[in-house]
Amino acid sequence: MSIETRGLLAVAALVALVSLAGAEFYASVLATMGIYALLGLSLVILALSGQVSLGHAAFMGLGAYASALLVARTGLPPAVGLLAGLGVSGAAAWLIGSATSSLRGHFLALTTLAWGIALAVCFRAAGDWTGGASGLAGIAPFTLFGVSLSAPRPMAMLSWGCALLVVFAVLRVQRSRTGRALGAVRQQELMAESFGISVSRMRLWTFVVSAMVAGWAGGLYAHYLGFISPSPFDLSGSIKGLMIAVVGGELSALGALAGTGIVEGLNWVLQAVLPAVSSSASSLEPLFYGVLIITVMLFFPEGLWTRVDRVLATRGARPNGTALNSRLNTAPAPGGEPVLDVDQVGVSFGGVKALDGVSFRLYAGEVLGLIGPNGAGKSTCFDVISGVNERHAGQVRLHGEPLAQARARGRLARSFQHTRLLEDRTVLDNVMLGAFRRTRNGVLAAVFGRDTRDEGAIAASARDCLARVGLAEGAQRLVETLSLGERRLVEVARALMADPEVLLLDEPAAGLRRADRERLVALIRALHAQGCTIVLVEHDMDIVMALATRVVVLDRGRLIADAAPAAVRRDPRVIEAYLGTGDETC
Amino acid sequence: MASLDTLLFLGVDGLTSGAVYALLGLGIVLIYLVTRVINIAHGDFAMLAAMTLVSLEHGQLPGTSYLLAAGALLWGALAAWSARRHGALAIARPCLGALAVAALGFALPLALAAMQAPAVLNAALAVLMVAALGPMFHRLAIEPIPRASVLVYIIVTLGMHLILQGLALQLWGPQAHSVAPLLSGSLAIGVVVISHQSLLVLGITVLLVAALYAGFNHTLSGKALRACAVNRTGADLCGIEVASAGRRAFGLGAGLAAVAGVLIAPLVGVHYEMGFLIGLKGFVGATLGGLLSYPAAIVGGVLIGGFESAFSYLSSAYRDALVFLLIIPILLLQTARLKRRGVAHEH
Repeated sequence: MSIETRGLLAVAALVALVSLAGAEFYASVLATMGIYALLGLSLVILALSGQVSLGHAAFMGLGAYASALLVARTGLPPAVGLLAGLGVSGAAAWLIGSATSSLRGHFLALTTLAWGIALAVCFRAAGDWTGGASGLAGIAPFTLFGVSLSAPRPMAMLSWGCALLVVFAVLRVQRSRTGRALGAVRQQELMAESFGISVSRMRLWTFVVSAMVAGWAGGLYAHYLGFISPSPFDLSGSIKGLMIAVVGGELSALGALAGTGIVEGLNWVLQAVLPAVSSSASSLEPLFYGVLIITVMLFFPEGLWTRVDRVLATRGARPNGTALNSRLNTAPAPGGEPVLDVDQVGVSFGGVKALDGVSFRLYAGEVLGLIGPNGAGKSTCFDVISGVNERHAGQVRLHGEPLAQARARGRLARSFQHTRLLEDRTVLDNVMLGAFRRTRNGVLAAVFGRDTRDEGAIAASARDCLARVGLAEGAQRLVETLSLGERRLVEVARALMADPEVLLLDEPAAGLRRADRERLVALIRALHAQGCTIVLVEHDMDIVMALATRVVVLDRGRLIADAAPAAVRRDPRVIEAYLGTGDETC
Repeated sequence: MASLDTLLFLGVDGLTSGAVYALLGLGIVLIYLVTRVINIAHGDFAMLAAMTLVSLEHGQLPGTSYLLAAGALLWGALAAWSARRHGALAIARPCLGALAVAALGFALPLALAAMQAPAVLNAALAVLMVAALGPMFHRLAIEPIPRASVLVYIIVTLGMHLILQGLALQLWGPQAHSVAPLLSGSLAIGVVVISHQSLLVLGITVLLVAALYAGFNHTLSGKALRACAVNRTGADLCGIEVASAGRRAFGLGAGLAAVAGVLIAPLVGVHYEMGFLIGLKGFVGATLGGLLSYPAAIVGGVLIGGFESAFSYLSSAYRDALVFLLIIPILLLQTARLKRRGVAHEH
């Protein structure tokens, strides 16, 4: 049993103990806490994909009103109403998310503020349905075998049961294939796309799921209190949820529980202490919330729980199993058929032609060096081959199939010059991400533990790849502790995890120390010997000449040489491009 | 169908509130450009100025004096702490400065009350006091985290909004206050009556915009602010102190918001919650230019005012919902325009 599971069980036992044996007052405090823990968790789920919402209480309100109205008008049981409420908030989130999916970062956050307020205004204005500002009373409680669950004691257990369920699910998803993909979406969009992860789809679905969890909290709230009014669902509610998430660390489900404890605990202390100090006690609450937010943001910008989570990430048992199939060592002998066909490719930025009618081929088992002086178009060419740049003239074909097709793209994998790794995850997790296209497990498989075999296989493959690049020892280290040389090696291992037909390396030696560079050269040589086909963009001429079996030279967007290294070295046009001639006139 | 008179009335109404949103939007854009902070609490500056005016008009000491004193003393304490190794004089200077600011914050309102000053002086002092809060805001909430992400700043200013609004509730109470207009009387066009205060709002807004334009283009300090907006590192290398530019941006932005608050106070009730909504409307207007363009912030503010007045004619209950939802089409337009130009939209 993992350390997190033990923690969750301990919390569950504590909640059960307090709600059964404690005074009823404590049970009622717990019941509300559980509901707000769900709201905080909904924001943690959202944050996992790198999004922030300043209007999430509106979804809680949608869930609450939808459930309450459905039950009141049709007489269906509240549990059905709750599910319908989930559906309504999810559908609303899907609509809003699709409309704003092209927005990024802080502008997205600001739209959430705007529609959060707009929805709160609607709750107030649609008086015929919602009872307006005076609210909606007499909402039926949950029942179990005919017994009402509206009392604090059963409700505390119900709401905490739901919250712990969500925490459990989030923890499982975080260390699954989906969790790795979410990390990539949050931190490295370009890298995510290059390993087959659709960033916008990931974002949209996280948003929907998060809104559904908020709606869940709303449904529980409505049927617990039996009365709802617009005020808990306006900005103050959203801020409360955000605070719960931020205080604990917005990326941590367990942190949200800690945040709930701190925020609700503070709220409770304030309610107990302030009336003794001043009569206008409740009006001080937002003030304290403001001070709490500022304090946390100024002194603990990552939240109070994040450190604990990082330590937990490096510990714990890892799945294991039989490694996935690998092309290495089984590939056909070098000198085989053409793999990649670059045909008359041109790219222009405004009036500048970065690439102009470039054509060359890549044959199986080759190490193709792609070189040229600064501004020659190497990076642009690399972007076209790796599928980052899709707006180009001409065609790139893999085994005769256009590269734009997703199936073809899965057979290429690349490394990045400026390493794009997930800093807060272990080396092993980062490498496992490379296999995103090779398995299919989704969120549900992760939650119900149906992915253990695949995960075991991926982990075993990842260890193989790490061993290949010589990092077998560092699998459980956090990426943020690695040196640049090690980071480049992790990038190569991650690309190998995709089991590519062609490995694309973008300036792998740039900025490396001599020892690291030699290690890298040895690695590429070994990969070549094992039958790997490699495209190498590199500035370091010694490395290219030592490794490449053929060299393509670009100058000012045009291909000027395509030959064996030794021939290229003597080619007058190449020498001219690099050094210029005596009588240069331009 | 609305008659011509109704349209005229709605138009003037929309233009007046639009001018106020434009002033707020200008401040929001200025602060965003120079500091990368999207100030959610911007409208609270307007609210504080209106509240200060209420107190001054009644000859009372405004709660703003306490805010100023608290801010100045905290700032002084921080400055003294960071100068602790540079001798007694270096420590004493910020302390004395802070005490002087705090003392002025009490002395000026009391002096005005003693001489029963005219309304214009009261309004000017209200603007001055709130403008002084701007740099304090920057020093205390923004400068401690100089390289935080835009989202972190948003959360911080959200916290500041809660604090300012909560303090206003404590200092001035939950009730609505009213303020006498600076210019009484009105102008009748047919059956439509336009108050002189509305005209004053428009006139002052135009004057301020002209003054800002001149200031940014023809003074060194204005050019320094623009330099920070274009490239912070570059400005830093040219010897422009980025932190102090941020303080000036906050001072100027808070001053503009304060003018807006003082101007609109007689037209709408003064209430501790008024700031957030008008600030947010100014913000929605400013997004028309992606928070990057002053002219677009003005046009956007006026448009928001116009839409608001049209929406309130169509359905007053849903007015605010409709106004805030305008942000979605505005931002989508933005994104589409950026995409057409082929500019990567990333922060």
